[in-house]
Amino acid sequence: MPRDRFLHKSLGTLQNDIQKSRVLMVGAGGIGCELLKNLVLTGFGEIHVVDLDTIDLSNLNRQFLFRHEHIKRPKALVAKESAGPFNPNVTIEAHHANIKDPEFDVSWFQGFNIVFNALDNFEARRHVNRMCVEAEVPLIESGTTGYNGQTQVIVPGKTECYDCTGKETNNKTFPVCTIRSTPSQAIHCIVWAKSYLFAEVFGTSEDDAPDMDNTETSDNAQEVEKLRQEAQALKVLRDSMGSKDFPRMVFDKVFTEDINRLLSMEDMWKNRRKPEPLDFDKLKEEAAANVDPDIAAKDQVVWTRAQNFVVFISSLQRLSVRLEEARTRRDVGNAAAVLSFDKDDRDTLDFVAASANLRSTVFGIDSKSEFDIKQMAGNIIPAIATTNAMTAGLCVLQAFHAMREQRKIKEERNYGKTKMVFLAPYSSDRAIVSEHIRPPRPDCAICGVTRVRIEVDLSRATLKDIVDSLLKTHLAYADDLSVRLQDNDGLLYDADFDDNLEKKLRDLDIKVGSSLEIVDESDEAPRVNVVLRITAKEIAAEELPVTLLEKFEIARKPKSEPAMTNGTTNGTHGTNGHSAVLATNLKRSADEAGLEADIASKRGKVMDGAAKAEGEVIDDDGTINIEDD
Amino acid sequence: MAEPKTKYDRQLRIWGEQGQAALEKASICLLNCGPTGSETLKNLVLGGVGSITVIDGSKVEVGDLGNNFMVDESSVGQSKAKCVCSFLQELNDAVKAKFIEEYPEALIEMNPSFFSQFTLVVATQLGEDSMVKLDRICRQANVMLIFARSYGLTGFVRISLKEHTVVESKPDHFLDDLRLNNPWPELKRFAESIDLDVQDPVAHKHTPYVVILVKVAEQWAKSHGGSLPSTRDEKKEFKDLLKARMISMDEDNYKEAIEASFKVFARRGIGPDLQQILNDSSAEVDSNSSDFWVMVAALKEFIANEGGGEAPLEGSIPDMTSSTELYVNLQNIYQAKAEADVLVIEQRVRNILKKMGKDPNSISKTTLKSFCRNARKLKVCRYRSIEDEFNSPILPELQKYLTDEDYSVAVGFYILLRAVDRFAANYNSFPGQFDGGMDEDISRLKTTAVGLLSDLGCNGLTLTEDLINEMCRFGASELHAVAAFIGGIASQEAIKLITRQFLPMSGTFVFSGIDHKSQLLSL
Repeated sequence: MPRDRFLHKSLGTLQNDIQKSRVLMVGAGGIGCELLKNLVLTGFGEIHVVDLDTIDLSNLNRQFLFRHEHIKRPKALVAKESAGPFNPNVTIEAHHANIKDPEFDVSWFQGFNIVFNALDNFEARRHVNRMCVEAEVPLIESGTTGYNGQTQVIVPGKTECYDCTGKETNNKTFPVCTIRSTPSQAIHCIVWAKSYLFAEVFGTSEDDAPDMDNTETSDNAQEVEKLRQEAQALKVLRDSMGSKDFPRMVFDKVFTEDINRLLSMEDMWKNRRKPEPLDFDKLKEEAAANVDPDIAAKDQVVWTRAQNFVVFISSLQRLSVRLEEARTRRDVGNAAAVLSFDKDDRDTLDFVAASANLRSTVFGIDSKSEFDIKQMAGNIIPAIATTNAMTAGLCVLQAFHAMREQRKIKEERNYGKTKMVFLAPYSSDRAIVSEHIRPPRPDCAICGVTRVRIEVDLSRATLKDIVDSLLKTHLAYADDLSVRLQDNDGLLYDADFDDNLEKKLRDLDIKVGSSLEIVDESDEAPRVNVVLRITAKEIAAEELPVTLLEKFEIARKPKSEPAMTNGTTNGTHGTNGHSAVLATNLKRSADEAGLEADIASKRGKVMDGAAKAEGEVIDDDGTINIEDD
Repeated sequence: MAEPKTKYDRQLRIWGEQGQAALEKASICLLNCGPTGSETLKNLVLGGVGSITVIDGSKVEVGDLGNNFMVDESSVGQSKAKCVCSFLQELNDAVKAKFIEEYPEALIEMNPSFFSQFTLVVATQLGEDSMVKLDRICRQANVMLIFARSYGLTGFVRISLKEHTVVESKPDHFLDDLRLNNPWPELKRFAESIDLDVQDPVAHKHTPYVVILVKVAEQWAKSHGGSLPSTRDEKKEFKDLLKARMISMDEDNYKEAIEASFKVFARRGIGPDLQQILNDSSAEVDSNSSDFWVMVAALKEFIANEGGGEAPLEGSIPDMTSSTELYVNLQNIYQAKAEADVLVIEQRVRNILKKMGKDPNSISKTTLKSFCRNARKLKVCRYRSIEDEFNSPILPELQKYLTDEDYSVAVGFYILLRAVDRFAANYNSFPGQFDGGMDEDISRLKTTAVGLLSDLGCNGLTLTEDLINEMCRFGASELHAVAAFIGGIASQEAIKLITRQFLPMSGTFVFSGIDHKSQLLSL
């Protein structure tokens, strides 16, 4: 009885295709470990695994390819080591790298029969989606949060892609004044502790914090300037790190002096409860009387003021020692030593938790347990083995259907049997909900574009050759168009910006393999976006240095309702020429999100892996995205 | 932070320390450690259950290497239970793992009392006869039981126990408990102390929506003979009243009030699910009643007396636009009422316990608090015995499933999963298990399935040829991907049962990997 007898029975000849296939799995975390095991046991011939992460203790409750002795080692490599022996007929290639690295280009993606996403963040998902769409490789997308999970098959040109529907990212930013001057919720104090206090004392400056909006308006200009001076004064304190008085200096600065300055601005407190500065000596006395020095280990109780004080001082000392050590180690280097916040780094978490709670005390806000603060500061997604197991199992079954279709000639492929599947843990009448895959959206900025290759003589072609000769003359574009380089999203040309026209493409950083995105900005029946992919060719001097390699038609964008084109959405994308297009997309996707929420409430939770309602969110340490509650 | 806390951090955020403690106390018995069983147990071992006992009488064969990653070339010829057990132990050294090399069927037959030592038994790939017997044993011993089976691209999971009561059902969507349509005296008094027409625009836009709605609802009731808006027109009128009170367009508190006005329209009192629990005969407690039912009895008294038709207040309020002072005051008012309600329930529980001749303090304050906070979300699950389901399924349901397009594949596989066992009993192999003779197996399976249907009272009904062909093609194989999925479901249900959190699945879950669909059948 051979080892693959069962597979042959249930899958028939598809098993041969599986054995010959080359597949890519992006991400070797919770879903990835399960999925790699499934792929190996199902006998996919060559499996590439890409992951940039290393193993952490908190992974071990579900990422079963990793053991205690693997902590701090690269996930991709250990996953290969652990899963390889499951099936000697399978080759695993591990890449400890970022999937966005340039080596993983479109032609590299084209080398795979199928791609599996097992990622934990929105950005990387979108990136892989885009690469798969360009490379025309089917993508099995998946995500989990707690008991919720989802899988989706994306076949470029046949089904909707990851970007066809809007994704709520839940990334929350707070105005700088709320964080620095007038906090009213625990989350404000946590952001303050993590993105301001910790960053100023041990890390890089707050200007880089993604969760604080430092925008100046006429209303807050004065206050923002004051805050800047205040931050400067705090930074000066860093020089005293290591001295015995350092904890006291920091404490006095942020919990006494700065609060007194805020108090002096009487207007601010007309309709607010006044903050109450803390007194170092008084707290020290309180703490000496009755605080268990091991209090920091009790992370599920809400600490008292004195307990927070003790943890604040001790964590500040622990971090100072670490920073000092880092400094001495790199005394010859020129980069400044910094520490960065990590939710699983106990010292940094203790410091942020205690500081946040002390600040809450000042402003009369309820304190939180360290356990809760960890979730809020670290954007932790609850994660368990069971959900990952179910989701990864479904991913492989989805792949069977996708591969069965792949055997047919392109025109006859039908992905009707692939589904959008949600785990529905809260539904009383089923455990999974499947929906038919929807067709691509014609106005999707990623898969709704027309892609063509052009040959260019890079030694002499200018942007003008593309804009005037190719686009306007040959393809009859009107004047309202823009050209941007996709590699870096840089604007090269639009109706108000023609500085580059005479420049050679080569001087504009356009190389073989570059893609130019052409957006039709005209009001009347604009065409869908076109992406021109550059290939090089020497072209006789008397001819135009740019040639189209294929005949193609450019569809028109679907009509958008007038209300949607006013460009008033958030302004998040409105920096360039195609704000109107994006505004349409955003608006529609908001509607769709509403629809999904509706389905969710009827059938159990719809989740999106990248985003989830109610304050549980993306595992991406950079951003705070907790909904208020 | 201690290491286990960090290791389990991501799951503690789902079921908390209490849930984890329950898992760590649980002892799990697995019957048959093929891929479905191994996968189920893997997920439970990773989550940190207290102990596992793996029971399987077979030796590892080469065919096992293709679908179970816990065995390798070196295990061939050895006890499967031993190999799987030692792999599972490597996954988590906090779990006590042991194995018994024995066929589950034999154990069920010869040593039924063996099972009473466990918290939960996961029985995988078991035939019909053994399922019925094991179910009887576990029910008698009050041991929780989950059946799971993978078969080609299909499979099922079925929980079986007499009764499972849940306090922390943690539903995904649930209306918050604000009592805007039925405020208690303190909340009413607080609302009365606030002037909605306050001149200061800053104060006007910082009046919390809870206060706005309580006051406007009261005004409405006064002018409408005590009733609240119920028709569409009335609801619209009510919202217009709110809108008319806005003194500028940027008053978020009023926008919140309009959005939340459905909470005023909601009906007073308790919902039908809770009413059903109160009406249950178990709510008439005697000395054998569980703590849950004692608390339900107290809850019933509370609702009829102090509660005035309402359950104890939950006591928390959502975030809303408000001045800090008003928000904190509101918070305190809700908290105080919730605490007062807990005290009343506590008194009633103590009295009931005393009457039953039990220690009046045998139910802890923490338990009572949690019960009160979740009173509106209580759940009671009861499962038919396997014997009853197999011998006399609920006929109208079965007929409905067989003729309903949404259910036809699921119920088809349900019937076929039972038919293959009959087939095996008659012909000593599963349909399609060995090469050759496929056509004969197909017609035999069809006859068997039709016979089974008619035994169940569905004369003249049959299943589609396609489904029967597929079932034969599966040839009793256990595919890893399907086993991983079914094992995922089974372990998740195990966790729900052990932690007594969330709502476990109510019927027989049938999965079809052909069209990625599933159904729960209540038979």
